[in-house]
Amino acid sequence: MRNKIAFGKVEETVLHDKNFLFTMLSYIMVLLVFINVSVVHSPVMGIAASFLYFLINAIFLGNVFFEKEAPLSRFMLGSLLLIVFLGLIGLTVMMIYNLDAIRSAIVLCIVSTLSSLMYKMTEYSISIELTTNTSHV
Amino acid sequence: MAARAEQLLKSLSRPFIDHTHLRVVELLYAFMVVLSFYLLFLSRSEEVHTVWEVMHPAFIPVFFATTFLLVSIVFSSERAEHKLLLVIIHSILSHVFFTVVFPAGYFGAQQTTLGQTRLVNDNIVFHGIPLKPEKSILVQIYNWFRGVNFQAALSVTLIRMFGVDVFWGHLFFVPLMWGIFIPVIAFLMTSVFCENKNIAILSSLLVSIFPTSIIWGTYSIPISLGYVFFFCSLYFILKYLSSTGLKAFLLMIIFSFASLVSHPLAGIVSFALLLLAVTIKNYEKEKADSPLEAKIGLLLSFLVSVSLLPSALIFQRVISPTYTSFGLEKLNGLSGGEIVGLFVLGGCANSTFDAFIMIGLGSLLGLVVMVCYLKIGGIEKASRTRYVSLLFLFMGFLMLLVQYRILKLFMINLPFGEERLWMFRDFMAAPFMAIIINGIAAYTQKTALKNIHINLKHPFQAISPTVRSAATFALIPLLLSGWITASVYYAYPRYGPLQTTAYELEAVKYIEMNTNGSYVVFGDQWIIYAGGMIVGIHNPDAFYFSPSDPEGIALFTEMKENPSLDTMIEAMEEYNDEYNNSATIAYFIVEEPRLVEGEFDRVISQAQIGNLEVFGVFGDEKLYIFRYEKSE
Repeated sequence: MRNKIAFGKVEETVLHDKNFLFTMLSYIMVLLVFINVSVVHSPVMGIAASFLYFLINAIFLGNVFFEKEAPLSRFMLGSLLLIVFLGLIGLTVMMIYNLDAIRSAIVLCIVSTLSSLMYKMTEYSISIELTTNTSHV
Repeated sequence: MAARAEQLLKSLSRPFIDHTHLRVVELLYAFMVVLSFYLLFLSRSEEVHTVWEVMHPAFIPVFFATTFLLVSIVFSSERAEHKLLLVIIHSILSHVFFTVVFPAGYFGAQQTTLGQTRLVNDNIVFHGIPLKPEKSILVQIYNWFRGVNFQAALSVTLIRMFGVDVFWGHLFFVPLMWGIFIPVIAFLMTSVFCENKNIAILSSLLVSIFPTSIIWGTYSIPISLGYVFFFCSLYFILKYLSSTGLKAFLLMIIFSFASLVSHPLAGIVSFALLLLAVTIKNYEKEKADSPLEAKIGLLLSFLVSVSLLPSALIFQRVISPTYTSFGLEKLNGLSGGEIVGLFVLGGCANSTFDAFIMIGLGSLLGLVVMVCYLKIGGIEKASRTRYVSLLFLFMGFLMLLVQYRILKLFMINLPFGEERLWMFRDFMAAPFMAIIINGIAAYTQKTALKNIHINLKHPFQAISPTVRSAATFALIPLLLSGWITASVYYAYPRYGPLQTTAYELEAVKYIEMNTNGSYVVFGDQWIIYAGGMIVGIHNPDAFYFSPSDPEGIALFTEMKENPSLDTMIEAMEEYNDEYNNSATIAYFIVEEPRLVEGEFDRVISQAQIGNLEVFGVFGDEKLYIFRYEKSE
């Protein structure tokens, strides 16, 4: 129960941010990933930064597309969708030129922006169609 | 006596494990998982053919006990989320045998994919794989959407994010993806049919009952990634069938597209099912107005879905040098009875009893339950959308059965084994397996309670009710854990060639670290695989011939037959002419375990007589590297 409350609080904090603070944090993580790839080469730093990046963006995506699911399922599906977006945008960038450290960071920034914007769109009901989904399951 | 009976019945009506003992069982499970990983790590070997050859003798009993504890937790009153996390850990454990035990994962396609990923990771390749862009734009587009590019892009992005080595990142990529997401999707998919979360959790565990699900989750190759995204698309298709919004439709398209770019087979099956789902939804809308037209539309859609895969295989020749065609060659020499057997039983017709039990029984049980549900129509009364989802899964299952038979009996020169379709079938069967096993477990529990009641009335005529009840209640977890352990044992091959050895990897790393300038290596296919993993496939600065390149094979054979300085110079010049390259250094690698007895000693002594410089010796003198450098 304590775990559920803890994760719920994290999710709530990320979602109730009105000033794009967590989107900024996500960009900072991308910067850390870039510094790690270029200079530091530490898996510890990479895993820590990626964990935060995944947490923020998976929460955004999970709440855009799977708001009716249970918290764990929502987070897992959000992570899965994040991985698909990373793959598809990474593939596009690779087809255009290549996937070096800078372009990989660009991929992460694009996905982060996309997740954040989609969440804000859903939150402010800009996309009416997206928010009228009703599941009978 | 009656009070005692009441007390016993009350206690047994509760889930398999009492809540107070649950934490102890969970702690024990955690300990057993750690022990299993440790035993797996202890089994890691430098020179190995199969995982079972070097597996620690205590591993299988420990794995069985771990699975038993997990099944017991699954049948307990623990929260579904906790159970799911524990299932994920078990799933990861089941899929990392090759990566942990072998020095460089399973040989072949996985290593080639790693070599291609290495090219992207080291910025050697531009505009995707292959290295040299195709002249035809159609072929170039086809290449972009081949699974290897998507996997490389995703793999490299994640590897850079986590800051891990591409070698380990690639080897663990699919086992982790599979281990984490397949149980989650199985859980969610079963939730579409059952409100009972315990059945959904059981389903996430029962995916491991299928050996296909174990083995495909161990290789980091495009088709395995394709299976993961296919399973996701299947879930979102089911969500689309049960919802009215655009969101489910979008997700269905996104994941079907992801499975298509992961692997064409997964993508085509995914889109065939998508077509079927859209038609079923329309059928539901239109059947009241024009039932005949709706039924004809559904039938036509089913036929188109079935024909999508065979047609795609035929038309693949337009963009790729494949020669798949329809033909009756596979039926030649078969008796009428054998042909009928193949039609009815498919791949099970020629299989042994144990193969049928391991590969066919699970999906057969799943199909039987699916048909029963559909026929009884019990769901129909409860919820129309569930019935539609069930109808879709049944038609999808049928589509796969027909496609398998077409590929197996009427098509020749297929680019892959038709058995790859089994994985799709097993994904569809898993939820229904869980339903029937949960039903059996509930029946066993009920029977046990009844027996205890009778025994308490006649206490001197039977064995202790407590012993009997414990035995009955443990029966299902014992059977399930035994089945899962057998599935894991069956899935990993028991015969195999000598895998890439640790000293082969060491040798190619040594060459890469100690060479300044462009070089070419003449070696057997095992050295080529090892080289590809470390420097990338067809890297022009560190070139290893493809194992299927006749030019490379001829040059290596020549080097083996007459290992001398002159042959080496000649081979390097031939390579430079053939590939329009300017390598100045050549290496010739020969190793004892890959040659027939006596051949290794002859090559070594002849090379030394022929003035070839020994560059390095590895693996207790089992591997020699000879070097030649062109002087300015």
